[in-house]
Amino acid sequence: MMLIFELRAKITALYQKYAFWINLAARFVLCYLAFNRMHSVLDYNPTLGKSAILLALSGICAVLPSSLMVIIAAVYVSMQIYASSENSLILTIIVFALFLVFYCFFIRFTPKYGAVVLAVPILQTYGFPYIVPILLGLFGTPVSIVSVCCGVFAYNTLHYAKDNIPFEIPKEEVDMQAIYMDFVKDLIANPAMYVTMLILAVVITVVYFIRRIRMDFAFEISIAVGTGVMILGYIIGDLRYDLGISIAGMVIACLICAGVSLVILFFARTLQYSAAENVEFEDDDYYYYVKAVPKIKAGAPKRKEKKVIRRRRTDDDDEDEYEDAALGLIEYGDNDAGGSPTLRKKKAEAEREREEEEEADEFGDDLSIDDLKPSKRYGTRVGERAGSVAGKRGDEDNVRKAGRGSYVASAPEEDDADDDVILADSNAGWSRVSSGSRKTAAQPVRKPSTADLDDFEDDDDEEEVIRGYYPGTENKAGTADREAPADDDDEDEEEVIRGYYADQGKDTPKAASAAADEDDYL
Amino acid sequence: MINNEKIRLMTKLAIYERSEEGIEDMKVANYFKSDYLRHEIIKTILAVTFGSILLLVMIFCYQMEFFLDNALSLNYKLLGSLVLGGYLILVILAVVVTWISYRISYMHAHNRLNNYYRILGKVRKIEEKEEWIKDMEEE
Repeated sequence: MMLIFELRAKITALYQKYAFWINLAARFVLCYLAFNRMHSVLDYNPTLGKSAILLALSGICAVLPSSLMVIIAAVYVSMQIYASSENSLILTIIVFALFLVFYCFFIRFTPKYGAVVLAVPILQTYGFPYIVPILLGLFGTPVSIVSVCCGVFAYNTLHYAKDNIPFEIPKEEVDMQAIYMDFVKDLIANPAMYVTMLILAVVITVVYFIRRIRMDFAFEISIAVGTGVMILGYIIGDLRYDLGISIAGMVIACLICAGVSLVILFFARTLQYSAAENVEFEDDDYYYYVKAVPKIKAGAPKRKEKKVIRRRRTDDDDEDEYEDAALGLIEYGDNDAGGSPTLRKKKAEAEREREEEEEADEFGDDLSIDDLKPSKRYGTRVGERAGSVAGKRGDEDNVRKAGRGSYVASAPEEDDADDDVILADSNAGWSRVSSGSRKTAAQPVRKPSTADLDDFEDDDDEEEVIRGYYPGTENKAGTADREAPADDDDEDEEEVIRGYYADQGKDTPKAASAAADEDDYL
Repeated sequence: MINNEKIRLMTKLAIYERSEEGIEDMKVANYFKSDYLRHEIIKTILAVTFGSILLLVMIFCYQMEFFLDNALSLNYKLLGSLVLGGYLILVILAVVVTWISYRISYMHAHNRLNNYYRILGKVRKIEEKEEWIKDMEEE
């Protein structure tokens, strides 16, 4: 299996590299095969069968849209029929007119599937038309039924036109009307054609709808079911309307077509969108020559849904747990289920009460550092509040930098009444959080991370916390060039700063700087 | 300096612009929806009319003996109304199919173009930003 995957990877890589030329060459080869087959079936004009003519036609069709390819093929076939006999003018006109009618009524609505109209009759002459509906169901839409039906009609038109060519009748005795009527009668009163159309249409529909079902191996299943439907349809059709096919041969051909479809499917999933693109564009400064090579994805990973069913805990479980706890195996109430509903409710109430007590302690006047260490997350919030309080007071701080990106309160060396808690942050390079314009900090400050601010719903609180940090915070990470968040209330801040430096018996940095400038000036 | 994000977006745009789908969508974008549908319906009516005339001629050729034998006794009024009725039914069917299919294709093209213009807007924003940075550097 690995060998096949490796082979696929190699082919995909090769295709990516030369996608444009490979596509062009593939179209050219297919067109050549198609025209060559037309010539071998209707070999009436040797000139049209020359290699140069065939190559030229194939080259033209390879670069033209597929709907125009149908017209060129129709012209080629008409010319071959015209060359078959001097009495075949009427047949030529009829065949060409029929192609035109089909083009006007049907093919112009499905220009993308123009090649299908050619592929069906060509493959039918080889005995492998069965691959067409499977591939159309896999990669196309039910609209392609129209093109397939046109293809079947084209095959029958050519078949009966060939049968009705008046070879050995002298020109004087030819009855154009009779030739025309025989041909049309053969063509129209041909249930095999309609049955074939019906079978192919049903196969396309079945394959299309099954491959769209959301299930594992939908594509593979659709191929299998489509092949089964096709075999069954042809057997019934042959028994009822005598389609003129060998059932054994048809079954073998269908199975081969299914196998080929699987191979194509195996490659198509990766090759479909893997063609490299060479594009050129420009802007004011540069010309860009870009080769965009898509990343190859073998297929989207399937999402697996895992259903988790938790058994409802009963009182028996509580008893078992209690016994285990008594034996010292586990701690009571400390299991995944979290206890029975009653136990969970009690635990939740106890937890809530504990939190309320802690909240009361946090915001009380008798703030103690020991209260600020319950958890990392909780410590953050508590620390901010503490910082706010300390900042407003303008107290000196005991700062401990804890860890990168987190704020953890740590105990002061001495539990002094004047020592409050200010937190430091190791986060470097932050920008503003609050609304307003940015400004440069007069003093290194720190900003709480957004994760910290998530705890606060009210914007005013947020502002308060931020303001509370600036004045009294010393940053040990050396972030003097950081920007401070905007603060509309600058005066308050200045006051706090002045208050803080006054407590220390120093000038504020601004005042000190002004004094220094003055000294220099003098 | 080359902006990778801008190249990525512009590559997407270029791939779309030169694809068959993109070329077709650009043509569609020249029309309002109603104009586009009208245009396609007119083309369909012309094609169906041409096809119907061909078909009619073929039927006439096929039934020529009958027409020649009964040329004097034919009810031409009934025949004409049959032909006209058949033609109208064909045209109406074709118009309905055209209206539905091209309406859907217009919507798809419109969605793809919306996406295209969204990416174009992003590129424009990046360019404006680059301009601004350039101006700032010059200042």
